[in-house]
Amino acid sequence: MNLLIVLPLLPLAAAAWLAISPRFVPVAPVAGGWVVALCATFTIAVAALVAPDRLALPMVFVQGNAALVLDATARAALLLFGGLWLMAGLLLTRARDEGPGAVMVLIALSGANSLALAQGGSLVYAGMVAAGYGFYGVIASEQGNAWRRAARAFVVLLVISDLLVFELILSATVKPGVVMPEAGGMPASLLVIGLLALVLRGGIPPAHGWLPTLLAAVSPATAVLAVAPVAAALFGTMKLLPDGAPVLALGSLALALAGVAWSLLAGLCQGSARATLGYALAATAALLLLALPAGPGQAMQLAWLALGLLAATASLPLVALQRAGWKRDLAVAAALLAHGLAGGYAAAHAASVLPAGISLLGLPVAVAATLLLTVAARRSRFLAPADRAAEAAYLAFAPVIFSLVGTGVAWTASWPGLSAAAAAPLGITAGLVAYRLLPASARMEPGDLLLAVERASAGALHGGRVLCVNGLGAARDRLEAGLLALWDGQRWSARVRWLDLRLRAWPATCLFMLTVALAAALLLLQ
Amino acid sequence: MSFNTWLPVLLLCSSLVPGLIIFMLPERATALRTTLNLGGAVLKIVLLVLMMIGVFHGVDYEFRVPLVPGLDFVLHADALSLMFVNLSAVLWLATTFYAIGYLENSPNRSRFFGYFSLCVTATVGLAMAGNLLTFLVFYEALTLTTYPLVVHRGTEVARKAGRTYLAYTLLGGVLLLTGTVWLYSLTGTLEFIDRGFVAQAGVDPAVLRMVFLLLILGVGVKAALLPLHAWLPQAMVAPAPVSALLHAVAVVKAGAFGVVRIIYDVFGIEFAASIGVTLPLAILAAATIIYASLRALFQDDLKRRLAFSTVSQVSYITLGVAIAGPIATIGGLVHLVHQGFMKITLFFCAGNYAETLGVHKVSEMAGIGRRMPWTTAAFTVAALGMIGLPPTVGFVSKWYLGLGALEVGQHWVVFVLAGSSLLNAAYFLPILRTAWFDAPPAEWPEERDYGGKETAWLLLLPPLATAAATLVWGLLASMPGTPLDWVQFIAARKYAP
Repeated sequence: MNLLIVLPLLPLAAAAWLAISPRFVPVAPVAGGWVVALCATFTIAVAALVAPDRLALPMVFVQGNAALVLDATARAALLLFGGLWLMAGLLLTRARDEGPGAVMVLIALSGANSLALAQGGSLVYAGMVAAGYGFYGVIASEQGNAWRRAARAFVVLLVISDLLVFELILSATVKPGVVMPEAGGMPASLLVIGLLALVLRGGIPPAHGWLPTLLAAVSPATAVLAVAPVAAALFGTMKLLPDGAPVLALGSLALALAGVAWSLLAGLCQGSARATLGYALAATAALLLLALPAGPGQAMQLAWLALGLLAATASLPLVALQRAGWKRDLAVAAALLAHGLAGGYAAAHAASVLPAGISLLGLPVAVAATLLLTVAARRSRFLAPADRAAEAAYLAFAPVIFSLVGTGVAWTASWPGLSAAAAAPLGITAGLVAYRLLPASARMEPGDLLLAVERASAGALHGGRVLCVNGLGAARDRLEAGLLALWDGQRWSARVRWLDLRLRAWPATCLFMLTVALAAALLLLQ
Repeated sequence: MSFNTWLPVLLLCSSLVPGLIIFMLPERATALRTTLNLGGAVLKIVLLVLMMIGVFHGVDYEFRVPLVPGLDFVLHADALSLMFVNLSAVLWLATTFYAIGYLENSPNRSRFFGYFSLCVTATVGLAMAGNLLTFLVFYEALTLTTYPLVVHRGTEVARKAGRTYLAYTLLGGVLLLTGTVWLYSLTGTLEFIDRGFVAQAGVDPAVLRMVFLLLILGVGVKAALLPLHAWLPQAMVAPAPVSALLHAVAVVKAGAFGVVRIIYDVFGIEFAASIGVTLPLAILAAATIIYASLRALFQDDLKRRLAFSTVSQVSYITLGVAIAGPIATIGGLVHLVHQGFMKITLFFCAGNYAETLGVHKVSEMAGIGRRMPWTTAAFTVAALGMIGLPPTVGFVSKWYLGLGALEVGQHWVVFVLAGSSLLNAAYFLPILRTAWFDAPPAEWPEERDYGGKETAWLLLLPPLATAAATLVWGLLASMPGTPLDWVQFIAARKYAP
């Protein structure tokens, strides 16, 4: 059997085993974590060791062009997803941890692996859907209720984004009168739809509100996995828009600048490290949005940069589990360095499709993203029980290593020039200064802009409910009752009796009838 | 007459004869009743497979006897009719299994299964009707055979729902009869033919629009088109197998199939479009889709929510057919099958919840996935299909509908599909969340013990089988032998130059 088909199926089989096994063989709660870790290790092993491969799946879905492909982009995505799930699985092996359900984590891994390998519009869409809803399932299987608001916002954005992706692949397939098997020369309107879908599902401002709220409310395992929907959105969009969207470079720049400015403002005003990390992740997502119009690059460097940026961000929740000391400092320093270098390269990559006069505007975006991550790292306090610290000290290095790998591959595959490295020192230094100058204080609620949108949506929903239940429903019921009454013989009898009595009681009726009779007689005579 | 001539009659009799015998059986003859039910269902599928192979190779199956001077009673098996017969036969088998488990130890089972078989007979006859008169005969027979099933429980609520059902569907029958008589007086024929028979008659288009209106309103009652849909949510008082039958196999589908026949084989799609009747129908279907989805959003009763969902989803078929293009036709016709499998799964699951735990409302479903994981897994697959997410069959339907709309330049349809998907997500996802992730109550409303099992296996197997079909036909949509493959075969004939 081809290993590529095993990648999405193995976690599903493991999930099914975990779901069914308690009925036959009691499984310790920690076993779920080990199963997740093993499946994730297999994902990493395939990404690292297997030669490029392609498995055509002509029978799958509707277009006949579906395939599973292991190329550079898929490799970067698999390393990222495998790394994230490995960390989450290892965190779940601690029995006392109140984390997400292992079954949901495995289902989400299956979706993520499918997306990483998918090629062909409908299969990519299926992968995006599976990864998105899988992650929603991961959040929803958390204990407590604090995550509910964020999860609700996330799933609403996800559904709308899914519809946009559907519209994109549909419109890319057909032109009036001609059905085309492959998209080619995508018009700007479809590119806009693609980027809009990315913004909505990728936590990019202004659709980022769920990220800080969620990160502030969930267990470490879910916090590590919170990077996954951003990654899934990015890799999915890269597959749907393989040539990038150079015509939208300016629009992306404007959106990224505005998003990073807002994230910076809101992130610095946060009280908790996790909420700050949420804004740092939103800023990183905005940076990737900026780089996307330039396409993946000749050496597929955008995919490797995404691995570098997102793995570095994912290491922060683990840092909070480490005691202060050189190991923690090393992990943080390496993560920030990798993030800064990858961010600088992403800005340089974006500059290749920007007009010469404003091509440097990408750099502030990269600097701001690293700045926020630095502040989040500095705000992270050691909160873990003593027996977990030693283990976590090493655990945090894994995403950092993936981050360094991603950044290193991108830099060595295609040298961007030393100027691209500027974002790292600038961002880290500015972050340390900002941390000193701005002590953490919760002056702004996590979720910011989204609160207003949520309130407006709730109002609209309430209005819709009133209209449907009390307005349209009642009108329809009245009409139905009236129509049904037409069939009621007793009512008809009563109506006719009533009419008869009225007519007889009204003297004018007699005169009217007399007039009618006379008129009829006159007509007959004529 | 050759064997091929009698095959349609045999297909009809495979459910008619067992149904008539079952009426005469005493209540205690469970084994014989079950044998007759399942034997008839299996025989029907065997005959159907024979006929499908024949039709694929160009064999013509037609049974014709004179009914009144100038008009025959015609049973004709073409690709379209066999698609509907296939749906009815396969889901009849699944529903029979389910009903045997569901109605175990309940009274009046002979009456129930007798009418059940007659109902399927009427559906199969309607599917194979070779002209509008035969269609009308079976259309009315379907009304009369389903009424006893709707009022089966015998409660006052059931009787009221039955009266409403009868009032609506008989009104539909009267409209259809009026339209049929008027059309016959204008054209002198009622035979279904590819591309329709109306275009050659040279009748004033204004008159034809009126006839079209009467015919569509007639079948629109059963297809639950706005504003003729109100009977469907009320009929939810019926037992779960009947609800499944109404929504997925027989009544609603008969209406939708009627729309297809009238547009394609009476008027002809090009002629219908040329006299300007398809666009208003598409708009009406779109309004039904959105309105019913909005109504579903606020229903706490699970079966009522599913009923409004049916009203919405069945109009996809009308929409696909009315858009008038080969790809949209594929979308509409394939949804006839896909929606049947998805919706029957949902109703089976709703029946399992009610029968096993006494859960009837969405607000009572917290944590139900932990108590009934297999049923809830099947429900989840079907609900995701209703939203139109891959890899379920709902995605395939939505894909072809959207593609077909774009092909003929009807971009607004894509927005309708998007809006409907959004609303479907809004009323299905909260159910899934509460079912899987909320904490279950300490005690269920009316929990029945099945010896440590989730529920009776006869109640569990049918939804699992239909959910599996929903998933496999969605994932392997391009494989030969799927509903999509057969529908593409039909569309190729309907649009052949």
